[in-house]
Amino acid sequence: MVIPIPKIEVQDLNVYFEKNHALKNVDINIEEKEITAIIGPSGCGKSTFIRCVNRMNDLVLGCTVKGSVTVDGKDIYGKGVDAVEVRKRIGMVFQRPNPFPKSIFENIAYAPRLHGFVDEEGKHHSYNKQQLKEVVEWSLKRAALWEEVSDRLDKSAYNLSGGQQQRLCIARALAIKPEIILFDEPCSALDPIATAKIEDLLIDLKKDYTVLIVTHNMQQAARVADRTAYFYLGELIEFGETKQIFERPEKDLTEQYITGRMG
Amino acid sequence: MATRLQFAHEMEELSKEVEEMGELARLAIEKAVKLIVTGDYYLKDEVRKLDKELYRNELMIERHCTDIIALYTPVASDLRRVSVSWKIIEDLSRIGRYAWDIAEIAEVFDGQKFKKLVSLPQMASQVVGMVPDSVDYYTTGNAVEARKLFDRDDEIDELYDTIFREMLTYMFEDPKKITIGIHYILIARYLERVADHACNIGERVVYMATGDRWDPADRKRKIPASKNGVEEYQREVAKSRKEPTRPTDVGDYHQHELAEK
Repeated sequence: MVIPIPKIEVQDLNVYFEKNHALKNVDINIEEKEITAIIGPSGCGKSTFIRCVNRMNDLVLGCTVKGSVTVDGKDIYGKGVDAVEVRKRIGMVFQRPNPFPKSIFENIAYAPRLHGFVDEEGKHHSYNKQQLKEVVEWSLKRAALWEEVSDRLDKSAYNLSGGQQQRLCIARALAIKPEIILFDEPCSALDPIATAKIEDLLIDLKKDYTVLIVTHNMQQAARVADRTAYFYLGELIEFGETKQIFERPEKDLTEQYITGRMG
Repeated sequence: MATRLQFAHEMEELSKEVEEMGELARLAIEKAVKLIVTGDYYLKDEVRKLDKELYRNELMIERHCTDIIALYTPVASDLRRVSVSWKIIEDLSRIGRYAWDIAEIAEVFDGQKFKKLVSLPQMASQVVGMVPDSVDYYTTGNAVEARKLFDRDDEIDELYDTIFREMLTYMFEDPKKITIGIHYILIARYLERVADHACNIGERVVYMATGDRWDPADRKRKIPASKNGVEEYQREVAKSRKEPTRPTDVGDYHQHELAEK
């Protein structure tokens, strides 16, 4: 039997915001091409955890990260590792849609134009106009938005609805061909139909990407995730298959949270 | 502080409803047995009413379960309690139906009875005890006692075999008694089925309380504690699955069964 190597391996992760110990000794392995949901009450460290995976916490003053986070066996906090390079491989989508104040096309084309691409021989190239168009079309199609916006790519992204803006942000994240995508409560500002579209999209994205999603909506975790991790007061309480977590959680704390007895 | 007060209230109500239905099922089977023993035919109407009441309760609780799922999306132990409630009301309703079947037979007796019956009253009292117990284990979530229902069911099965032999003896002695003998066997059969339904409830309670889908058949297999023993156990299970099925020639089968009895 081949034991799969986890895509993301987190060992003994501790995060401090000055004196506040936000994450305590977190050990977790995230498998490749699966959706892993992170649930837990407010302030339990869900977002802090997910932000450690692409070094977003580096930007927070007074934040100290201890322990190791490895992606494909390489420590992303290692010496000489460029945080920007890490974030190119690990895309992120936030709670509120945050398109740039530019056209739909420019929103997607911005990062590819900036970063260019690396060919099979390892050479770095810039995108030409035609290639950029292709990347934009591919990204929008992959984010299930192409049909809705293909005739108005030059219009401002702000004209889109909330759900469309969120899918635009997903398309934007996909444009630089990441391997992992982090979602920090991607549906909390959306209505149920837009939410359902994003959920369908997440399941579709799983074929090609490793997905980590923080959600306050437990039913959403139950619907989309293969595995679910429950955090409480900065600790990883339970991590297991979603069905097991929602049908027979092993820990009392998990049970209390998901059944709504904790509040 | 506990949250979701309305939901907690609904769950409490559901448990109470199932408990009450369990009480009705106990009364039904108890009265049916009493009817056989005493021949008080007014009891038959009561059993009929209880049977109907049980059916009405089943529909009502089923609706309540659907409502809870639709409105509160229960998970974990709550989800297990709702799904188990939904399942066991069917068993309780079936128990009511068997009580009615027994009550109907009582009329056929019309005063004729075998004088010395040892096993049937014993079986009846044991079965009547299993029904409220199974519902108690549901209410308290007692998986340990729920598992033991299966041991009690083994005793019931043995008693059923004894009654079967006992009746055959009577019927051989006096062929005029064949009708009544067969009716007695039917009663024993119905009681045995009631015990099975109590066991079904027990099996569900184990799932409800532990989250494990426990297979009652495991109880008879020896599960060695040692690590090496696990393979042995798996082999045993695999072997038991491969065992050839019994020949299905119906005529031979019955002869064989009768000879055995």
